[in-house]
Amino acid sequence: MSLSLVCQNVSLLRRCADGSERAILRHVDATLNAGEGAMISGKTGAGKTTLLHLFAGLLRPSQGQITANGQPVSRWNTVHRDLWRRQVGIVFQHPHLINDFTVFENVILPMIPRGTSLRQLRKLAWDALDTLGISHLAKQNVLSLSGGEQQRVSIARAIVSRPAILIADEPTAHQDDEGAALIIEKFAGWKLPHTIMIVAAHDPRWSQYGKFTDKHFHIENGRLRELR
Amino acid sequence: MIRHPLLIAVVVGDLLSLLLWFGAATTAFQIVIKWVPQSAKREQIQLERRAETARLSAKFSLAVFFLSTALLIIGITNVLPEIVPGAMCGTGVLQATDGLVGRALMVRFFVFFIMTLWLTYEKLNLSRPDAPLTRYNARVLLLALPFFLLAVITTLRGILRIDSHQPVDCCAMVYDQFGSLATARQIAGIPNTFWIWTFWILTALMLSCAVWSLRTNRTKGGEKATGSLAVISVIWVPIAAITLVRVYAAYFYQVLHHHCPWCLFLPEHKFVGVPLFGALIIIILEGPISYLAAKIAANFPDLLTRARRRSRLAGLRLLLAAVAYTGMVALPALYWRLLYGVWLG
Repeated sequence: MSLSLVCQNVSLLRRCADGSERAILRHVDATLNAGEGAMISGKTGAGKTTLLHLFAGLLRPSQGQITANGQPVSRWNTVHRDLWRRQVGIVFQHPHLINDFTVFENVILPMIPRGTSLRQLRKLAWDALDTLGISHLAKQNVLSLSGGEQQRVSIARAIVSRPAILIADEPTAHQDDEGAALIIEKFAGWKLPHTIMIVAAHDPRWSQYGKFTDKHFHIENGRLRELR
Repeated sequence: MIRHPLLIAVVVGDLLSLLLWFGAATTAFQIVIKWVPQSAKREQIQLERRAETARLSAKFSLAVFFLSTALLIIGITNVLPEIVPGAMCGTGVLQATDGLVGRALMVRFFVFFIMTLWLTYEKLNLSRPDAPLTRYNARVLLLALPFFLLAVITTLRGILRIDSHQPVDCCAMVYDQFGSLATARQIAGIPNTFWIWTFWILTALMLSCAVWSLRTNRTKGGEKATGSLAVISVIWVPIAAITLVRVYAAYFYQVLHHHCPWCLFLPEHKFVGVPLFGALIIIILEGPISYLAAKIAANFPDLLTRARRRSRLAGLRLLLAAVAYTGMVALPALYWRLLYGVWLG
């Protein structure tokens, strides 16, 4: 069965310092299907990252629910949500790499709890590094890398497990034009019939290079609008 | 107190498991008063994370407690009799503790029952993404705490009471239980024959109930069958233990009127007490669990399949344990009868 991720009337409230509640997201409805590339744009602070975190199961909505193939994953308890999250690869806005580890070690990290064999694990990691053109950095410590290189490592870490849902938050923010073109091209190539891709970006290069975007959402004041 | 490494291990294990259970109980208390399932509030998300830590802590506590109980039993049966002067088996060791360790063992088994119940419910709870039994199971976890504390304190007091310079009279304690041969053939003033018949009638009833519960597991009648099974198993276990010590142990000892449960754990009797009392423990745990799982199936439709499967598994374990136990007590007696043409006693 082809995967679908549905956001039904989702709102997220946060308590302010004065005790009042502020809506970060209001009544968000969206349907994402496998094989589609979804782009979420919006100004800084509009709620893009929050929405991605809701899709990834890192946050729970105050109202409404997110379903994956009809299952209300946003309402699940921690154990089941953790298991479901193994299907999600996420590229954070900041790379969140482990400084004491090499590039290769950072990339294989999400695969370790899954019990994958060492041989398979190495193969997957090399594939991910090769795809992003950073296999020559494999043995380097991540502290010695530039911001753009670190971002590519974090993308490799997200795709290493070949997730069914790939979520990326500003994946081209620290890239030069050449790097951005490569990443956008790769993202367009990863749109497989069984994969959902969601990218939040306000980088205009996403509309210049490649054919990633099938659905374009714009977020403003916590409200989501589908542009096409 | 004897500063034996095994006893020190038991005390350390008990304190560690109590500490872990206490840690889990503080979260369980928070769950009982604050749990709001599916809420997006920070407090609830934090409580869910703490619940997961508490679950791991309680599981670890159960494992450590099981290990320390096993060590305590090994100590009583096979290690301390060589240290306590006059003790030849666990009876002498318990005498050296003024019976405190005997009482502690009873409380420990009760705690172990609640812990097993908690673990059973927890497995059922985690089978559903919405964890419907979380608050219910937190209460079970809290229920164990006072008994756990009592078990650890009683064990500690018993261990502190052991004196390696004070001799005990192990066999005298066994044989002083009866004044004449006539009373040796009675239990609580009732002839042994009555207890033997009661044991076999109840065994037949329990096995029938176990089969009935397995056959009606998927129907509404399953609850009635498992309820009967739970009641009979709770009555059957003490009667089985009494008849074992007073009647059937003779076929292992090949001596009449040696009413001692602890000698069955000695190497000269091939540690036969371990499978015999192990089977009794399985039966007294699984009987009530079979019923309680069936109740969960009736009250929580989301857990119906899993709970029924657990109830069935409990029934099956009980059936196998009961068959193994009856085989282990009956076969030596039958062998004796065939060999010598008479029953012992």
